[in-house]
Amino acid sequence: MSGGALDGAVRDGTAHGSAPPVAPDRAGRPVLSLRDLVVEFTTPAGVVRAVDGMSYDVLGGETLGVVGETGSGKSVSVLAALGLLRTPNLRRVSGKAMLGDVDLLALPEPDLRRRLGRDVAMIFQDAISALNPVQRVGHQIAEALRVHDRALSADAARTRVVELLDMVGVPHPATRYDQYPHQFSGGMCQRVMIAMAIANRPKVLIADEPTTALDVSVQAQILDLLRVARQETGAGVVLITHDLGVVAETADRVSVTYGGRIVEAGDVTQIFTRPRHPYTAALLGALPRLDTASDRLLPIPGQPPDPSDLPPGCAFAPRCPVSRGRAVCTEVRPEAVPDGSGTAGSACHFPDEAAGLLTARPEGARAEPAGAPDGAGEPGSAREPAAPVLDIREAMVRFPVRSGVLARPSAWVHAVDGVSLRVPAGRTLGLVGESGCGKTTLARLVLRLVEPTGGQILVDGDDVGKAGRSQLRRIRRRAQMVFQDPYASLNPRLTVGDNVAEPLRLQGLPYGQRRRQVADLFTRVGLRPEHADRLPAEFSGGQRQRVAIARALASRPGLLILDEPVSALDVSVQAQVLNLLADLQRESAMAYLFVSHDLAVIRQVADEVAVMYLGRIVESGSVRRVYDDPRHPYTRALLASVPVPDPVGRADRQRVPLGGDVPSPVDPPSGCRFRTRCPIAAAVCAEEEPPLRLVAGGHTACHFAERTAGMEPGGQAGGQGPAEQTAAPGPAEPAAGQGPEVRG
Amino acid sequence: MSTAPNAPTPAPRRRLASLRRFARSRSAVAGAAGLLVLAALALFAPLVAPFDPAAQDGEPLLGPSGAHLLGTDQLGRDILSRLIYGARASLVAAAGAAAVGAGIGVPLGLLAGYLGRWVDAVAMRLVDLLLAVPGILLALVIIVVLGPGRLNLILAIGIGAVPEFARLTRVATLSIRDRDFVLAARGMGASTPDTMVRTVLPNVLGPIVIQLVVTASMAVVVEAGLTFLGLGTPPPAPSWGGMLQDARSYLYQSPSYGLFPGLCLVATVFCLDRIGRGLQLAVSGSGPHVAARVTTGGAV
Repeated sequence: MSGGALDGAVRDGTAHGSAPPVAPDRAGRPVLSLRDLVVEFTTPAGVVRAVDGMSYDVLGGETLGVVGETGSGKSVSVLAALGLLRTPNLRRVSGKAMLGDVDLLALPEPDLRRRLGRDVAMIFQDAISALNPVQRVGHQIAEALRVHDRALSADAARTRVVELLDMVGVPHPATRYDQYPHQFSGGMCQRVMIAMAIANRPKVLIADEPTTALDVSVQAQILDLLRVARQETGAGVVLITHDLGVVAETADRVSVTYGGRIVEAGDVTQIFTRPRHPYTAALLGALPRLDTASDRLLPIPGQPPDPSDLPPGCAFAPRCPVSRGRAVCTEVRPEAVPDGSGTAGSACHFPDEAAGLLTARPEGARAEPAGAPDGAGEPGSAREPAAPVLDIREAMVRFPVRSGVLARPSAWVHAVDGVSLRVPAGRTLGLVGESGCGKTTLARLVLRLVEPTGGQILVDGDDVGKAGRSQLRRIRRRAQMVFQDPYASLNPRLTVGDNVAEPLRLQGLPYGQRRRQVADLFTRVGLRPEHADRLPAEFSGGQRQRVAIARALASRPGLLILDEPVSALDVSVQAQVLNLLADLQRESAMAYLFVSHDLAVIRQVADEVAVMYLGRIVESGSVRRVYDDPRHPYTRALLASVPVPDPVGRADRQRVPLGGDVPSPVDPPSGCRFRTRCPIAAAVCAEEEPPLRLVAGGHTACHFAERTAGMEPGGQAGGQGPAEQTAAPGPAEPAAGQGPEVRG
Repeated sequence: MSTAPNAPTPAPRRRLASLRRFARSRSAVAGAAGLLVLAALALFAPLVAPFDPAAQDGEPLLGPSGAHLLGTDQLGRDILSRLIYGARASLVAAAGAAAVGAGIGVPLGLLAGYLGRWVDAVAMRLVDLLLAVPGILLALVIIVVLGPGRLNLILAIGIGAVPEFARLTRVATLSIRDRDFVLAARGMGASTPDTMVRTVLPNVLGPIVIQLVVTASMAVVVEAGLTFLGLGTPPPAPSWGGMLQDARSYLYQSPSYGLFPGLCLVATVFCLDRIGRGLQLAVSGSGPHVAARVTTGGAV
């Protein structure tokens, strides 16, 4: 080990974050090179080539983004290169994985082990399960140190670990040292993982989807931390992710994977502005954007390729808009051709046609979203004055926290705490919030899949909470739900056709009629009716979600509850499903309650948006109002945290991530629930809960809503005086009227 | 939709796939074949058996010979014929006990697991009560109360098997009760009984089928044991347990007498055990190296 300044200083136990930036000897040279890596598995379906000749270099001090969809081989390649793939059906790993001058694949096991964790370190997606639950967090990091440095004394290791914990932003590191992983939040666990990874100042840091399991506000913290870690160690970082936004925000260079190969590599700006492979261009077109919502996404047709059955030519040819059936695409596999500079390249026969795809994308924002807040006179809002399909009034859900022998509730989780929403026919209300904010509970409440503790939920005017058994069944026919995970929401023992027919069977329709309707439904959602006799296991994620949507449509509902319907899907397929939902809404004027954590998706689909935090709506209004003129500091922070898939000008973007984690809903903070993380919180915020009140055409629950408008996101408020109480503070005030109409 | 998704890759039907996985285990296939042969013998006993099992048409306690392939018992009856007829008692007890156990245990477990709360508490205390008494003792008590006889024997063994079924079903139900597709069924307006029977039950059947075989194998042994004690199949009817009991008195004169019913028992239990193992592979859908075993109770 080269033993940088940080090393020496910390071992002496003196320095405190005074390490110099990038170690100069590492910058600019490849620290890890993969050459023609091939990974094959034996499966019942035959030999599967998961990685098919992948090559890339990581230079010291830079971040290489490896981006691709599920099954593109982006994770497998790295795991195989480090010898971490241990599945019994691994058939072959060939090629070279050069760590400096050493080929990792040719190293004997003990030598390889010595380098793992010292020269190469990994950060995994699921940090909570990557930590040993029965070992103190500090000990786990200390162990990582002492494995590679037997001479290190226990005391010195402890000092070093506390130092590391402090560096990665774990508060009270000395106390935290002796705690167990379950006492850490997900974000904190990821910080610990990063501390462990950089403990030995590795030359290469591999981060495999490091923020995928985290909320956007925490994701922003971790991405910043990765940047710091890179500077501290001078390591080359391989950032494996499916998220183009994360790549655009953090990577210097990008490699795009598809079908087990690198289809395009290049500088991050070039990849995002002048892609030379149609897949890259198509991915960008399929991505919902936070900055500008286009009228319609451009999905990539078809499904990602099956690695056990790759086409002989270009793997992307069957879905490619450039190929147009040209023989060379379907017959000859294109090799990556480096361009002039030598580092960039595209594996496409027609790289110059790819960039044209990006400009073909419909420019600019939609003329005016069909559901403008002042919707009068718009064709889409003809039904607007009618009663809303869904009307939630002051809904409340509390779950008991049971403890002790008698299992008496000792505390209550305030999952949903006085939420009011309304969704008119033909419109989409986007409900957005971080995990644990109660948005899924609220969605399930509509069908009474959880019991309400208080308030009213009206579906077409019928009170769901008071409905008797048969009335509830009738309501559940008019309101249907689509779940997040299409792998879990279909009954695996029934064929997809029977799954779709279940609601019809429950209505007592005879078999023949059911079959006919199922065939219709399949056609409507873009599935082939002749596949109705297959089991869900034979379909891909996107197709299953279509099945789930078909099932939801079977009883001709007026309201669809969409609980994260696309978050388990790849970008290219996600766009297909979003467009399908838009088409269905246009055909049948259904109302959608669209729940998601993804602000860009909500911007794409919704007419109105409600932002939820700890069981309450903190801001709501039209998409334009909430996204372009957010008044609540939480909304502002969320929007600022979302990585923008546009590397141009990322250095100028203000990104002050929210600190800390969402407080426990068992004991929410007094007054304004956001105040513990709020950059502009004042004394009044702890005392008085701000009501949701009309501000600038939308509703915002903040004492300082009038003043936040011109502020830098996350910056300090100009004047933190007492809040002006413009609105009546009474709790009887209806919290969130969707649309301008006065509540009767 | 402008874009039709690709056809899913055609895969074999699920049931066939399970069957293939079962067939991949040779010993399971052998077990199934053995059991089939035994069942056929029992069913067609009058056609297969060389003698009437009750007829005393030979010298007592003969060794194996050309006339009596496996020899004769203390009353001069043909042992082979009695073994063939005795298979009936064993197999009926096995099937009956498994059916009784599953018939009571599965609904109990399903209700307890799906409804939870007080239903769960009551059902599980009931099961605890049954579990508190050793299985053979429980069967003894039941037979003492109900009196001996074939039906009571089946009831006694079956009730002893209820706890295993109930607990297995309950755990499986708990693990899928909150899955999205169950929630989806409720969200579609399915009633609670409908959800339990149509949605939950088919998804917990796998382990139950295995437990059926395990119970059957256990029942064969318990039936023989109880008959051996004089509480099972009443004396004139041939049964393996009864033959063992008779043979015990003549171990010195005719050691082979006791050997054959014992071998029959071992072979039957072995066949059932192999079938259970094969089913496990078929249900789990993975290779033999990962499949976990359901405990086979007192069967082996």
